[in-house]
Amino acid sequence: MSRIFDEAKRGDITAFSKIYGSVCEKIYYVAYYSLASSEEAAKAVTEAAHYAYDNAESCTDESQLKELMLKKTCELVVSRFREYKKSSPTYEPFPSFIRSQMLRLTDAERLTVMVWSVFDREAEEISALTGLALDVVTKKLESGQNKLIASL
Amino acid sequence: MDLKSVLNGYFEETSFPWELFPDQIAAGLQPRTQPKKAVETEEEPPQDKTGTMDISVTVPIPSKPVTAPLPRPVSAPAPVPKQEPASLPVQRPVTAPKPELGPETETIYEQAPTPTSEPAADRSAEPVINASAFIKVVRYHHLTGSEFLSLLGNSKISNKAFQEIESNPDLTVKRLVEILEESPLTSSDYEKLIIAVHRAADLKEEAKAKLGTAKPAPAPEPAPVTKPDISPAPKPVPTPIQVWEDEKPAPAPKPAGPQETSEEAEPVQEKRKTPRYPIPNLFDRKEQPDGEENDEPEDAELSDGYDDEEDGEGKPKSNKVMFIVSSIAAVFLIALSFGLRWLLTGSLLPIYKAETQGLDLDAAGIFEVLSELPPPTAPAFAENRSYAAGGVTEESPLVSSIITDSRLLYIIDNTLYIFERIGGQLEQLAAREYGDGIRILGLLELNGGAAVVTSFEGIAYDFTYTIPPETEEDVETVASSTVQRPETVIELLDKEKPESSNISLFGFSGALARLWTEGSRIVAVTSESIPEGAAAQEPHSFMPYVFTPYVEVSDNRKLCQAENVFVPDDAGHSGFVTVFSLDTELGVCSSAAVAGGSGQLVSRSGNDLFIGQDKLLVRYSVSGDVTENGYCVLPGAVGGFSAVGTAREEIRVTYLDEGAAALIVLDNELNAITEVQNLGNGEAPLATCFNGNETYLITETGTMYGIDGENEPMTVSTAKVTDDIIYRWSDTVGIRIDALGDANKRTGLAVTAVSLDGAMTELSSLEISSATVADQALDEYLSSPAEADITVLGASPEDGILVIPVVYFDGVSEVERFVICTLTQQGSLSFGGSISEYDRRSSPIFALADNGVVVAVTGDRLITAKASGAGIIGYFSSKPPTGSYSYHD
Repeated sequence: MSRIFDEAKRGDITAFSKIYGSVCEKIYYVAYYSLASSEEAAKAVTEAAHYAYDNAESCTDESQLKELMLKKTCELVVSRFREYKKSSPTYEPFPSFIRSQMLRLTDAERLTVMVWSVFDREAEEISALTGLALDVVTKKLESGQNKLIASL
Repeated sequence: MDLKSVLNGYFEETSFPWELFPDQIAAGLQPRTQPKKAVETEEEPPQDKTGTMDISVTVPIPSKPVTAPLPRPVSAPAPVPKQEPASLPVQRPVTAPKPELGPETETIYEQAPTPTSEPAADRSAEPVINASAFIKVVRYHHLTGSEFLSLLGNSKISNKAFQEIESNPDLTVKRLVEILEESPLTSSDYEKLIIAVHRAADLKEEAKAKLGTAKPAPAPEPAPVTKPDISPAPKPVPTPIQVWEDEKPAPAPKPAGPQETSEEAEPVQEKRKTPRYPIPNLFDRKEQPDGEENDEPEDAELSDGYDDEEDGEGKPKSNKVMFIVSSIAAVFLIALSFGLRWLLTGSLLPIYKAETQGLDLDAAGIFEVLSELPPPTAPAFAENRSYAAGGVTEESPLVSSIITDSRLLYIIDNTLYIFERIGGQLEQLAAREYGDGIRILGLLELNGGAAVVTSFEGIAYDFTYTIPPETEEDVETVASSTVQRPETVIELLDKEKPESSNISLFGFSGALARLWTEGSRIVAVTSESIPEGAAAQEPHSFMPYVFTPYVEVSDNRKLCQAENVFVPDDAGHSGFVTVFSLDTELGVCSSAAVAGGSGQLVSRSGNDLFIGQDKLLVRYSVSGDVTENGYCVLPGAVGGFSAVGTAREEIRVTYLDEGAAALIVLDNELNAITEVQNLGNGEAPLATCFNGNETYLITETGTMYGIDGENEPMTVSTAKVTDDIIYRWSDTVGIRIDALGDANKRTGLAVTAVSLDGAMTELSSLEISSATVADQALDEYLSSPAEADITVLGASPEDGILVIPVVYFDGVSEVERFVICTLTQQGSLSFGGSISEYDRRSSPIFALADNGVVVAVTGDRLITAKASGAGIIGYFSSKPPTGSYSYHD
């Protein structure tokens, strides 16, 4: 596996796409259930993948590369949240049940719950990934979980 | 429940978009085969000539000039604009060979930049127009330093970067490119700048071609022509001094920029011109030598003496004699005309009087005069009132909330909410959702009472009328028709219990244009275009009316008397501008109207109300019943920028004269004293404001022209003209809310107390930024709804309480914060606490303050708190209305 990473680090697109393929679905879930539409989520994941490819040299192993992709995705999601403050987003029509339940949460609650559930991270790690303060992450994670438990 | 596994179970059923499949992502990646390239500068040799792009394309000029930013208050003396030097030393481009067809733009392949929210899809090699390309084009076209700085000044470049460029005449090209690349200018910005450079170069070429030789540019525009007045020897009126807006500092004496050779120093006073496009020279036709014949085509008596076609066969001797005779005759005729005018009218100047059809027209006669032409397509009352000279713009008395000792009233979403208030405790008493074509315009606070002002689409009613026979053999025909006329309705609420149904209603025909209150009196001006088909035999189908009480449609309409309707000679479409004066205590209303016309102007000065329609200006007195108090016909029609100012027994009116702004000064009898034409240097006028007997005209390019009380152009404005939204705290103190930071990043809000002394002197200022009240906040998104609507501020001048609603994102939650300040009579501001709400995105949010209590309204939630210390008293919710409310049920 380290050979694939070495090749990806050197710029081998095929090798990189293999590493990407092992984590892309989960990253997409985080983006999709945090953002307003699948288009925005796809855009964020694409940008994160490109970013990770370009900056693969800064990683030392495959897990770091995947972490880089996830971190970049979270950053892009938070920046979209900021855009939502300026103008309300356009949500996809006819959301699925789980999507409509997720949309009952606030932006920060959705993101923290997604990272927690999909990547099994704790509050400190979520705080490092998203850039949100630890106490905020703790508070939002708990409130988001409580809301989902009540509805599910 | 294991929430994690439940959620993951759902997530796994999510469809995955094909564009994110690994092979699709791989297809979009650019191989990383070489290190990232640095951005090229002038010093580096061009890398790749293939794929160059000729960007010297012809770009159609927009049909409408770009509106320059709104002018800022000007207090410094304005310089006379200086002409550009004819040419500058030619600077050969350093790249070789010299291109023949415009500059080349190199194709720059960049590595993927730091990702932002920009789409990453177009990552394939694509030519990028950047700072280097822009500099090359500038050098190719030999732009002067001032032109270069002018271009930059109009772009999104930051102030800091601009100043660095401007203040460093020895800046190298490399450093210049670095500064530009650090700026927020994007590829599309550079493209626009390059297009502007090409256009400027083209215009230069055209100008040179027109001039032929290296003759300097035409002299500054001549003075505005003033018609001679009764004072002896009218002196030449100099060109109005343009008072420039300064968005960026004036350019340095030595222009910076890409020219690396030294150039002639630019004058220090030369400022960046705000007009983006050449201003057509409209003044040749106006140029007239002083003291000579005044060509007045309107004046038939004068034109008679100018028939120079008689003398077609000139002999040299007789030509001279004829010329002398003609001159003497002309002078005699001119004197005769003035004398005759003075004898007949008592004034040497032409007094324009309206020729009317006679005030004894009945309603049918009025209708016949009016109903021929279609109504104007332009909206009525397009008056721009956003500017004020030295003070606050005239405010509408209509508000969206009222707080008293015992009641709280406010409007949200066409619904009126009424709360009982006991200190900081609130209880909802009523919620009236207006329906059935009724729209709430606002609340009025009257002497101890309140009124709701609404617009109503009108009730359609059928009526019958008789068609007289055309011949003796025919019989009368009875026909029916339908008419529906919009109304402005004023509901006077019970003073003690506004929630009760004890309401007095007054309906005014027409759509509300302006409204004032004077104690218990309401003066309203409405405008209406009568729909085609309204029958003449039914005056109430087209005459203005007052309707009270609102019970039956056709029984209680009090029509405006025909003798109170001013019908000008050239009245056009079937419509009226009507003035209503309502005494709310007595319940008595009178009305008067001006018929026909378009391009309305309404201006109030004390108890005088001026209505302008086309060229007609009518004055009404509204201290009691509405009575006409004189009229005159202006030399030109009023426009959207027009205004009326009164000071020192003089009345000033701006109007349009052959497309250019002009000013007429009238005496108290509405006789013309003098006129000043061609204000605004030919630029389209935007707004007028007055400061005493000073007139300020703002044009659409953002330039301001000032005329003093002697009708001379001002070199220094004596009052600041501003479009800032200022809240009138008292007669001497105002509150202004400004964003802090530059265009790219906000750092907070500034709340400033200013003195309403003409100069808008700042008294004190307080900065609101999320950093002061929360950690990890994002200041750049901090804003206040007061920036757009100053009435959302909560203010209690008696208690010195000011509440500013603020919204921002603290990185986690949306925060709605009501910042409580104290403001003394002297204008000293201090921070006093705040009320915060999280995770809400409410609309609207506003605040009220009264007697030591602050009420913060955020959507359907009300929070009361003590003004001192911001201690929360209680949380309350508003309940939605249970049904639709209508006053004609």
